[in-house]
Amino acid sequence: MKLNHFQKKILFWLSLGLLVRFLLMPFLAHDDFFLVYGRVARALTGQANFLVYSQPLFHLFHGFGYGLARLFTPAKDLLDIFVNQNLTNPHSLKAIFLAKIPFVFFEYLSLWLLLKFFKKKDWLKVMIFWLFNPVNLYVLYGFGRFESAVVFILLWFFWLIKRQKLAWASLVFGFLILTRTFFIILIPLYFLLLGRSFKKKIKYLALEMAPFSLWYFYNQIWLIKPQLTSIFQEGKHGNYVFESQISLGQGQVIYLFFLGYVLIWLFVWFKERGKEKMFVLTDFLRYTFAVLILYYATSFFHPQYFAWVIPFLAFLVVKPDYKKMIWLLVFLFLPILLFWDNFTTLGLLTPVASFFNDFSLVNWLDKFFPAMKFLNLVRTFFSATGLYLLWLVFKEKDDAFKND
Amino acid sequence: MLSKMIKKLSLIIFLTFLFSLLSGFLPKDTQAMLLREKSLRESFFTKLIDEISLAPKQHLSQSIRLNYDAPLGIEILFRNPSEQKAEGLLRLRNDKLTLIEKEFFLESKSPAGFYFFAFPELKNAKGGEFWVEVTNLGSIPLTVGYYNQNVYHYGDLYLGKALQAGVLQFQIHYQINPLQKLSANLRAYLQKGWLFFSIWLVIIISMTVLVIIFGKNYRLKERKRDEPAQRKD
Repeated sequence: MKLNHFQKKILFWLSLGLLVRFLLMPFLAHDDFFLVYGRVARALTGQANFLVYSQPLFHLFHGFGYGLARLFTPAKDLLDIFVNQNLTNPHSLKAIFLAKIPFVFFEYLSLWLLLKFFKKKDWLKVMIFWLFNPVNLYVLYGFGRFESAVVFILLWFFWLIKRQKLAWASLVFGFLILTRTFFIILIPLYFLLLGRSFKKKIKYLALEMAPFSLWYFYNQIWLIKPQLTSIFQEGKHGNYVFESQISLGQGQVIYLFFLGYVLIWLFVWFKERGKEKMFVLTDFLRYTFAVLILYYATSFFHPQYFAWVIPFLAFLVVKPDYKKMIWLLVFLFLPILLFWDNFTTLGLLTPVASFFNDFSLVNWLDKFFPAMKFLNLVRTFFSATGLYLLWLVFKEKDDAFKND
Repeated sequence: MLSKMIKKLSLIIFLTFLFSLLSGFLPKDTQAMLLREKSLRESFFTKLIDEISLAPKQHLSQSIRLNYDAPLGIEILFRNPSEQKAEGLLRLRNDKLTLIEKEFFLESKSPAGFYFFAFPELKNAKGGEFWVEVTNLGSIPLTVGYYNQNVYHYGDLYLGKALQAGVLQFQIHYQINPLQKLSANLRAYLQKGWLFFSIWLVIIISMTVLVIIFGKNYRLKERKRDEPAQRKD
């Protein structure tokens, strides 16, 4: 088969991307990587039920990785690595490598789906951004989180929106919530965007909520210790959006994220929604992007959450006006990782040797400048860049995410 | 009629379950042995970890050197097989002063487990030598484990112990050099995981060759495309 020049270019970047990934994969992982695989191990060996975990689909997807690692690793060793987190086990690097293979698979699958939104002339730009932005590389292969599966479902949802298959899109979105509960926050927005009549809106809402509701009721009725209730009651990750607030005095506060969210929502309701208006892909992309950026700019987030916005940034990076800003934003993400000190930086090399856990970059930085002050300055810069980007996108309206 | 989307969805769900099932059949004895944390810890306790039963009022101590200015705390392994609550006191002290004192109790019939003691008050501790001291305050024996993981704190693990008869005192025999730790770790991987490394290296080399081949064509084509333009000039 003779490849033309364009195909060779594509293959070059694809294979370079794979090479970089394979180089990183066996040596880096965060505690959470083992934590999730530990849970999966328990579920797969009959010690727990997948459905007791919050975000059950996310855990279920890890079944791919566990199965793959199991094919080449004795069961006892695999459990020792993932359940006991014994990284001195001689099989550990191999198990980590194999457990990350599905991450690559879904990342490339997402890329394939993403390219379907673009014209051929933009493919290379999108590919280079997708394959070599530090966020994807860090989150998937450094930190070791399966966000490529989440992004794949998100892109699948947008693909169905593009084709105006709204019912199916709603159902897929329902599955997205089972992979990352955060996306439930988009439901009030999608209630405005999906469907023209009230009846249809209710139908789409029901489809969006169906998988989550089924899981929720299963948890409430059949399990002795419902996980979800405790998540809602105790807050934990779900509380991040409530942590940034402006105090009005006398105990009253305004939640920053929700302030912005309601503004976006009202804007869509009163300014955008005409009686006959059929919302198209660019609307969904623009407002979803707005909510995500607002979240990153105003709230505390775990590093892996930032991978969700990468497909949106890929839409913008092909436009010369946005290119530099996008690359700036993704590189500003890196110093933010120092907030967790060696836990999210050098400590990721613990699979190679526990030696790497012994350093504190923050203590070292403290010698030159108060580290936390520096990091918070970077965080402010990051938030400002995000909000500026948001303003540009709103200013341009339809053009920002258009590829014609 | 099934649409393409349903087919795709079904395929993904089917593959996920297939993998889940494939990886699910593990020997029952392995599951039982490794997955029940309590029994795992119990087995560690009886097989790998020695334990000391402190009589009432007895104490044991171990010296530690902290690697961070503000360590989070330490974890110590305890269990309480008796029917009554066991009570104890944990002290952190340097040569002269007791810096932190925390009383604790273990419920009756508590299985072996690591108990975390936070030291939020401790500042500027880096490099300092401290003593962790556990005293039995109750009327029944207090059971303390002292395997490698007996007393450790984040980022550092001290091995070795010297039990001095009578005073039940642990001391550090040696401190591991981080570079030795790194090289020992890497050596172990290379010795035991050589097969994986070989395969991984083959993959890396093949990918590199592929990248070079495609990259070479990439450049050649770019040059060829430029050439006519130069001639025209």
